[in-house]
Amino acid sequence: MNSLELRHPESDLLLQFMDGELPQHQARQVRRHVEACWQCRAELDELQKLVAGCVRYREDRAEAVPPPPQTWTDLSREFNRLDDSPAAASLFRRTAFRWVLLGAGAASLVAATLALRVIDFRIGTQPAKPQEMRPAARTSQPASPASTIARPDGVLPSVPGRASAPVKAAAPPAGVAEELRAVAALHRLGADLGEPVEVARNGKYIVVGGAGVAPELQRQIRDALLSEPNVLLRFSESAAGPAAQPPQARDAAPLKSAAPAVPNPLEAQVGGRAQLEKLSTLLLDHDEAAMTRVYALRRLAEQFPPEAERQLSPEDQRLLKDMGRQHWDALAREAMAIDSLTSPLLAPLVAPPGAIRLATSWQAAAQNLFGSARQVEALLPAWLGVTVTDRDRPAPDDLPRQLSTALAQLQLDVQQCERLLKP
Amino acid sequence: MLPLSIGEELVGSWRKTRATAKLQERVTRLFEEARDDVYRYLLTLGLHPPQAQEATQEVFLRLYSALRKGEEIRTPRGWIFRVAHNLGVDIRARQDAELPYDPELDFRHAGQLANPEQQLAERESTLRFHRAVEGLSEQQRRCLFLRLEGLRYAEIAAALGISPSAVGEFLRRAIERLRRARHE
Repeated sequence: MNSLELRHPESDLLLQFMDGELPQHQARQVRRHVEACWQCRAELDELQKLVAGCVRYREDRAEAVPPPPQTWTDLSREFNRLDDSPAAASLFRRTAFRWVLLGAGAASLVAATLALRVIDFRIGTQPAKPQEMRPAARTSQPASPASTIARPDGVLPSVPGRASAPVKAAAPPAGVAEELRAVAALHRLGADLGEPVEVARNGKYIVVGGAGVAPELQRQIRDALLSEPNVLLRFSESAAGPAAQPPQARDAAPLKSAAPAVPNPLEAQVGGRAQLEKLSTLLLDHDEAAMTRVYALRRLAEQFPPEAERQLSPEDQRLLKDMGRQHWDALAREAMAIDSLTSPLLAPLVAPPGAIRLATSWQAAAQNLFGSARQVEALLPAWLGVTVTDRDRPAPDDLPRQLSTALAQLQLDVQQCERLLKP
Repeated sequence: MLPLSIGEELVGSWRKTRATAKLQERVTRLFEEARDDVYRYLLTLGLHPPQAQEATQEVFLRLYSALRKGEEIRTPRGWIFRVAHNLGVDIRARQDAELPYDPELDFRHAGQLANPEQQLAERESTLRFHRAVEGLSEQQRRCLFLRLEGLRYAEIAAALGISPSAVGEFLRRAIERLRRARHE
């Protein structure tokens, strides 16, 4: 018999004993003591009554607090939406890489990554309620600057001394040029990089909007489009008010992932697991930045195909290509960084990447670029051994060769796109 | 894409669909079982009811995404409350200017009206106990509330960013304080 069995345990020990929190050997000692000691049994009983009081408190409070204001959302629909969304799928995967890579030690970076992305997961408790505003309507009378923004109900604010009836817009149908100017305004704000902002022509209006756009960005967009005629802003917001802010993800400190069952041969090449994790983080960051530009460039190409581009004035054509080139510049830098980090680790290709995909327009080149960038995006994590679902399986032997080929193809497509984007 | 035969792709796709359906079913069941508890817990952090409801749903979407990514979650309830706690704290932190929701107000109001047949002495004792819980320090209350939701010390510690032994200490102090209130 040791001292713990002889003396009365302190109340914290008894509480931990009751809660099953003591290590096995200590719990055994306390149990033996309590079996023999009436005083401690009474103390345990007292603790039990206090716990029961807490449980009653919780129950009483549960009855008193207001029920949820809405009926609960059917989450299965939200799950399906997440499953169906390619962006979300990519997003899940990429976030997962970081979790695997960094573990709990780098929770803040993980949190930042999740915080940027969680906006895409958000759900509304009520159907989205679009707000419509016209930054500027072409009116028969020039309006004062203060009156150019229509109220959310679409009615222009009254101007002193004039009839307060809504002024009907008498604008011609919106054309490609107006659409381009709206896109250019968003581009200047950086709102064409991963932001859920859409631009579309709808009759005589250019509709700019999206769901879940941050209020500050909405304000900037509104200001930037003030001078553009026939632009209709349509942003959807959750009806839940302030909670509609994308929640930051301090939760993202998951349990550290277990080491992969199959050691990655790259570890030895780069000098250990820590080095590989650093390299992986760096490469995935570059790849993510590249993909942002690839998506933006493809979006621009789809929005302004060659036939639409031909309708533009020479000045607008230059504006369009300037935007394309800016995306290309950033993309080329990222592709170069990926290449310089991977080339020392990949054997040089003995054969060209494959059939040369000739494009006749920068739009077609942007599509090719999208294809090859996606290929790299898929192969890179597998090569680094950070694909969550596959990390316990050995990577195919020819993965390095596949990645080399994909990177070479990407470089070819980058060069071709550059040539076609030249003024 | 990695090279796969069409047959392998089909089998892989079928397995994936089946696994996804099972996962959705699992998270939906957890959602139905725990959503009210999570919602009420978020109210205790000062979230207003609409925020608390939306954050609750958010927590389960995150759970789904975490499980889908293959994350190993041994005790879903602990995970759910950890995420809910952090999410709730963050939402509150962004709304410093806004008055936090005080569920105790509703509670006190209801407490005065409920159980008219309850013996006066017993009612007073209950109210005293409730007031004592409300008078606990922030950390003691948080530890106590999370313990009441069935979380182990290590899980509470992970949620609050403190050590499990600190959780034990906060709980001990809370219980001591409640004991004194009970015997007043």
